[in-house]
Amino acid sequence: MKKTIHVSLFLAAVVCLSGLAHSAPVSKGIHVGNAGAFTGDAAAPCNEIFNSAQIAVDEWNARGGIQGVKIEHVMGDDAMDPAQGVNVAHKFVADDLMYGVVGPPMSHIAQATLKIYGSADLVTITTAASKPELTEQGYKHFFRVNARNDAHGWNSALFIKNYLKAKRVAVLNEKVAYCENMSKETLAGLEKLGITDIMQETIVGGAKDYSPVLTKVKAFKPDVLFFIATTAPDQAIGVRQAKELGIDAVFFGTEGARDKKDFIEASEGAAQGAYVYHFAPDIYSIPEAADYVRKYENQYGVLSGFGPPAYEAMNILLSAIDKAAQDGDISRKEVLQYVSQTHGYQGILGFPITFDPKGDLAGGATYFFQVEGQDFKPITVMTGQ
Amino acid sequence: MNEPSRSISLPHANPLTGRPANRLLVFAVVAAVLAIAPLSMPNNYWLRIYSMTGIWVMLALGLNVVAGFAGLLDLAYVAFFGIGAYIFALLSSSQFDLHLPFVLVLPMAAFITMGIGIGLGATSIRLKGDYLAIVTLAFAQIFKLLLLNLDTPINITGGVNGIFGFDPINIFGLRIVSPVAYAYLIWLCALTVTGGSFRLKRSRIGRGWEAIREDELAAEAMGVNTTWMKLMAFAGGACIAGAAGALFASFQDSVFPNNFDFPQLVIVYCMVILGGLGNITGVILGAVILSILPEFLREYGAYRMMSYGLILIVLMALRPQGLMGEFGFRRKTQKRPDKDETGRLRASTDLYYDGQAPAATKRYVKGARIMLELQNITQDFGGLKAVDNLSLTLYEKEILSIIGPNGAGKTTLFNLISGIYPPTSGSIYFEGADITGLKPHQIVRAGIARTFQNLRLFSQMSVLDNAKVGQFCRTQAGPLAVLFHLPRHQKEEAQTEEIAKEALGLFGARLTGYRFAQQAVFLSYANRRRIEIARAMATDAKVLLLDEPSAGMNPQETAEITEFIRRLRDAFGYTLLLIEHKLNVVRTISDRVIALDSGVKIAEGRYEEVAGSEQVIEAYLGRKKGR
Amino acid sequence: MELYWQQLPQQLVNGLTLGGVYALIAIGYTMVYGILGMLNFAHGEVYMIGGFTGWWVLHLLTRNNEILMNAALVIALMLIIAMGVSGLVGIMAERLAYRPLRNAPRMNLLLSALGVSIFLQNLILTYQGAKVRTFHIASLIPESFRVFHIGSTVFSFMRTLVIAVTFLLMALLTILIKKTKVGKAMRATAQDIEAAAFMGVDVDRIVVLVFLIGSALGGAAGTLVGLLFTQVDYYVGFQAGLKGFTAAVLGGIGSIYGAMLGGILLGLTESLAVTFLPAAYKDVVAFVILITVLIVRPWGLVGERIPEKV
Repeated sequence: MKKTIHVSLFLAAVVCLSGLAHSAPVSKGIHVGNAGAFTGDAAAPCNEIFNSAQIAVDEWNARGGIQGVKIEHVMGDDAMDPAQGVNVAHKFVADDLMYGVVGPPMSHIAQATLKIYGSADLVTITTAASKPELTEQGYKHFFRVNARNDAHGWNSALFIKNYLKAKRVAVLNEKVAYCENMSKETLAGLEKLGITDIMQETIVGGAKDYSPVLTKVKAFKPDVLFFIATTAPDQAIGVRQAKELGIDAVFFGTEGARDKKDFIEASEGAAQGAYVYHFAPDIYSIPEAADYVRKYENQYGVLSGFGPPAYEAMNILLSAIDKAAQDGDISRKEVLQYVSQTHGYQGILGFPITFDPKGDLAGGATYFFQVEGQDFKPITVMTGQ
Repeated sequence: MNEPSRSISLPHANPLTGRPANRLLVFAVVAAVLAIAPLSMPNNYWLRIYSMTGIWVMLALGLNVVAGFAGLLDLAYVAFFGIGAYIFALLSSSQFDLHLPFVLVLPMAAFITMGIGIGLGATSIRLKGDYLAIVTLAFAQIFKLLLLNLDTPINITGGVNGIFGFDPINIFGLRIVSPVAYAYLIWLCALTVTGGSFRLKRSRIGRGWEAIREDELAAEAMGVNTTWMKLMAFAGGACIAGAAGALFASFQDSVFPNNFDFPQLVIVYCMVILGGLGNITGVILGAVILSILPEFLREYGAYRMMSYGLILIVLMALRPQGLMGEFGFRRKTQKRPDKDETGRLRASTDLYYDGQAPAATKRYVKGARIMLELQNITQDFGGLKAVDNLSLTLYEKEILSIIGPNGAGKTTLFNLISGIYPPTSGSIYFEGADITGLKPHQIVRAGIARTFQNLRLFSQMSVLDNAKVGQFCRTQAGPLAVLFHLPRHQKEEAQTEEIAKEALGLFGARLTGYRFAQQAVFLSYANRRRIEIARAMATDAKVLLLDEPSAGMNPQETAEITEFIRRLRDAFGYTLLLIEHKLNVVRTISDRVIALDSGVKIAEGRYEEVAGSEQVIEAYLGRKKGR
Repeated sequence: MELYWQQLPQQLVNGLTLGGVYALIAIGYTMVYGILGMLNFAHGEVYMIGGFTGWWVLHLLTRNNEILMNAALVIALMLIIAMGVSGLVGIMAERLAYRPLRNAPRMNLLLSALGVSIFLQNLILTYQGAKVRTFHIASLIPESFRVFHIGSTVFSFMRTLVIAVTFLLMALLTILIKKTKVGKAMRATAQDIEAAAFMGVDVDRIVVLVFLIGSALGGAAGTLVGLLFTQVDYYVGFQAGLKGFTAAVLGGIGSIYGAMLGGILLGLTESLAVTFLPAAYKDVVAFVILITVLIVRPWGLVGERIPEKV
C-alpha cells in the first residue's frame, strides 16, 4: 500500500508539473470559465453575472476574438454547494485551454476552491465575494473587482454616525456569508465610533415576510435601520413592510438595493428617502457604460447591481489573455501576471481599476445614494476617514 | 427429511456469496480495478470525481442500511453526514486548537455520530413511516439552523463562513495529501463499508431488518425485537454517515452548512432508489451513475435539474424497484421439480405425498400439564369489550379450537395471547410464568408463536429467509460478530439454515428446492399459508396459535392441512390453539372446542357437546341459517 | 419586558396572517394525504405556479401603472385564474406521475413527487427566469386605504383581505365536504379507497377532484401571498411547502380542520418566537414544537388516532 502511494505520488507530481508548466498555441482555442450558483437560491444574481460576462465575450468575438480565435465561455454550476464548487474548480483546472475564471461570487465557495485554483495558477476574478480573509491567505491568483466587507463596513459605520447622525441603530442581516460579514464589520465600526444603542437581528433571505422581526425593530425605536440583504427584492419588501408598520427610522440598504426596478419601483413609494451604499458610482450615469446597459437590457431585461462588475471582470481577463497571446501561445502564468499588472484600467464602473499586491481593489471607496423620485441621488463618498 | 431438497444448491443474490472460486475472482477483479483506477484518471478533475464517488458510495450504502434494509424513512441522514464532518472539523483544526490525529478522529466521528443517531432514534422510534420521516426532517432542519447560528455568542461552527484549513491526514506516518492518496484512502473505506453491508444483509440482523421493512408487526410477532433492531439500523446508518463525513471534510479541506442541506439528501436518496432499496450492488451502481452523470451536465444549469426531475418521475413509473431491483448478478435457473421429464406440470398435491417422510415413530397425546392459562381476560376498546372476562386453559399437547361468529373476539384473543394488545385486565400464564404485558417478541421467545388470519408474510423476502426469521429470537449474534464473521455467528447461521429448511421440508416439494429462493409474494395463497406455519414452527415454539389455517383452501388442500395439523401434535408434540371456521376441520382434529360470542365464552367441551349446545346454535349456526 | 408586551398585539396580527397562508397550503397537503396516504412534495411548486399566474394576470391587466378594470374584479380574476392553472398542474401531476404508482411502495411515490417538484421548479426557472416578480398593488388600493390603526396596532388592507379570503375558502371547502354528495364520496374514499370503489364511487375521479381542489387552494395561497408580500419567484415553493407541510402535520395530517389549526398555530408560533428569542431561532422553535407534538401525539393535535388493524 505504502509503495503504491509513493508511486502514485510520483505520478501525481508528474501530472501536476505538466499541468503547471503547460502553455498552448492560441490556435488550439481559448476557454474562459464562469463559476457560480446558476441554479438554486441565488440563481438570479448569478445568472446576471453570467449574462454580463457573456456580453463581454460576445463583443470580443465580434471583433474577431483573440488573434482570430473565438473565445468560448464555459458555465460551471455549483448550485451554491461548496462540494460542487470544488468539482467545478477541478473541472476548469483540468481543461488545458482554460486561461481564467470569473467568480466564484460566493465567499464560502471561493474559500473552498482557493487552493485548487491557486495551485494551478488559474486566475479567478470574483465580482461579489467580499470576505476579507480571502485575500489574506497568500494566494496570487485571486482577484476581486468588488471592495471587501471591512472597507464597506467601516465606511457604512462612518456614514451612519457622521452623515445620518444616528444614536440608536438597528441592524438586520440575512444569514449568508456576505451579509453576515458586512454586519459584523459595521457593528465593529459603530462600536469604535461610540454608538452603543444597537440592536442586531437576523432575517432569512427570500422569506417574503419580515413583519415579525420588523415589529421587534419598531419596539426598539431606532434612528436608523440598516437592512443588510443580498438582493434588491428582499430590501424592497423590507422597506415596504417597515413603512407599513409605521417605523419612522431612516432605512439604509446595501449595494444590492441600488436597483431602480427591483427596489424603487417595486416598493411603490415606500423607498422614498431611503439610503443605499454601492461600491461604484451609478451605472446609468456613466457614459462608458451606456452601450453595455443597452445591450443587457435588450437581451436579458432589467439590470441590478451584479452585472456591471462581471462585464468589467471578463474584459480585464480577456485583455490579459490578449496580451499573453501576443507571442502566439498562452500560459496561465502569463495570464496571471498580466491580470496582476492591471493598473488604472478604465472600464464601465466609473472608476479606474488597479489591483493591489493581495489582489484587492486598490483604494476601495464606498458611494452613498438616496432615493429621490424614481432615481438614486449621489450623496457622499466615504474612503475610510 | 427429504433428501432431494438438500442436493439442490441455492442460487445466490450477490457476487460475494458465490462459491469460493467465483468469490475470489470477484475480489481479484475489484481489487485490481481499485488499485489501477486512481492512476489511470486523465486528470485531477476526474480523480476528484472518482474520490467523491467513493464518498457517495459510502453515504448511499449507509442510507441503504436505514432506508433500504430496515425501511425507515430517515430524512435526517444528511445531518449525520454533517455531524461527522463538523466533528472532524472541530477536532482537527485551529478552531479550538485541537489537533487530534486522524486515526483517532475518524472513529470518534463515526461513534459520536452513531450516539446522536441512537438518541434521535430513541425519541422517534415509535413513530411509523411518514411521521418518522417528518420528525427526522425537522431534526435535519434544526441541525442546519444550528450550524448557521452557533457562531454567536461563542463561535463553535463558524456560522455561514464554515470551518476550513484542517490538519493533513497522517496515518502512523503515512501522510495523505495528494489526490491519489485520497482516492486510495476513500475507496478503501468504501470497500470496507461494502463488505460490511454484504455481511450484515446475509445475517440474522439483515433478515431482522428486512422483516421490519416488509411488515413490522409480523416481524415483532415472529420474535424480532423491532425497537432494538430499528435503533441498530439508525446507529448503523449514522455511523457510516459520520465516518463518510469526516473523510469528506478532510478531502474538501473545509465544511460549510450548505454541504449538508436538502439537495444533498435528495441526491443520496435518489442513488439508493435508483439502485433498488436494499440491493447493495444496485445502490453502488446508483451512486456511481449519479456522481458521474451530473458532471457531463454541469454546463446546462437549469436544464440539468429539470432532467433530474424527469428521470426521477420516469424511473419511478417504469422501474419502481430500481435499476437492479431484486435481481442479483447470477441468478441461476433451476430445474423445476414439479415438472416431469416430459415437461408437464405435476399437481402439487402429488408432490406433497411423494415427498412425505415415513410416519413418525413417536405418538404424542394430550397431557395433563397446563401449558397456557388465561384468567379473567378483558379487552376493552373504548367501551367495546372485544373479549369479556374470559378464562381458558390449554393443556400440554392438546388441540383446542376456538369457534364463534364473526366479531366474536377470536382474533382479538390471539392478539392478547401473542402480546400485540396488552389486556385491559386479567392475567396470562405460560408454563406457570406470568407473561401478561410482555411484548410480542418476548412471548415468542417464551415459546408461543402464531400465524395470521390475513397472511402477513415478508413478501419481498425469499421463502427460506421468511422461515429463517423465525430463528431470530433463538440466535444472539450482534453486529460485531456478524461484521467479523466470528465462529459463533457462523455456527448460528448454519443452525438457522438447518431449522428453517427442516420446517419448510415438512411441506415437501411445495416449499423446498427451487422454492427456497423464490420471493414469498409469488407463491399461491395456500402455499403462503403453509409458509406462515413453517415460519411459526421455526421459532422453536411449544405452542402454536393458528388463525384460520385452512382459509382459502380447496377441499383437498383442506383435508391435507387438517392432516398436517394433526401431525404437528401427533408426530412433533406441539400444543395447538386454533381458530377455524370450517367445522369439519374442527370436528376432525380437536380435543376440545370453545365457542365465543361477543367476547364471552358460551360453551366449552368436546366438539359434539359444543356443537349441540343450544346457545351455540343460536349465536353461531342459528344466525347463519337466518341470513 | 414591557418592550415585549407592547409588540404583542401586532405580532398576533402578523402571526394570524402568516398562519392563514400556511393553513391554505396545508389543506392541499392534508387532502391528498387523507386520500392517497402520500406526501405531495410538489405542492409547494403548485403554490409557486399559482403566484406566477396571479402575477401574469395582474401584469396583463395593468397599463402604465393603472389597472384596466375595477380593482375587486382584478383581484377576483387573479384568484380564479391562478386557482384554475394550479388545479390543472395538480391534476396533470397526478395523472402523469402519481397514478401509475398508486399501488407502488410509499417511498416510490414520495420520490416521484420529489421529481415533479424539481421538474416544475426548474421549468419555471428556465421559462420565467430567476428574477423576482413584483406585484404592483398600488393601483389596486388607494394610498389612504392601505393601512388603518386600532390603538397602536397596524392593520393593512391586504392582510385583512387575505384573512377574509382564507376563511371564506375554508368555509366553502367545509360545506363542500360536509354537505354535498361529492364530499361524501371524498370522505368515503379517504376512509378506505378500495371499499369506496366497491360501493360504486369512481375513485379515479375523486382523486382527480382532490388534487384539483387541493392544488387550487395552493394556487390561491400563492396569489394571496403575492398580493400580501408583493413578490413571487421560482424558489418560493420550497420554504412555503415546508411550512405548509409542517402545519398539516402539526394539526394532524389527513384532517382538514387540523390543517387550519396547524397553520394558524405555526404562524403564531413563529411571530411569537421572534418576539422573545433571536429571530434566527424562530424555525428552530417551530420544528421543536413539531417534534414534541409528534412524539406525544403522533396523530397531531386534531387528527384521529387509528389503531392498527391486525
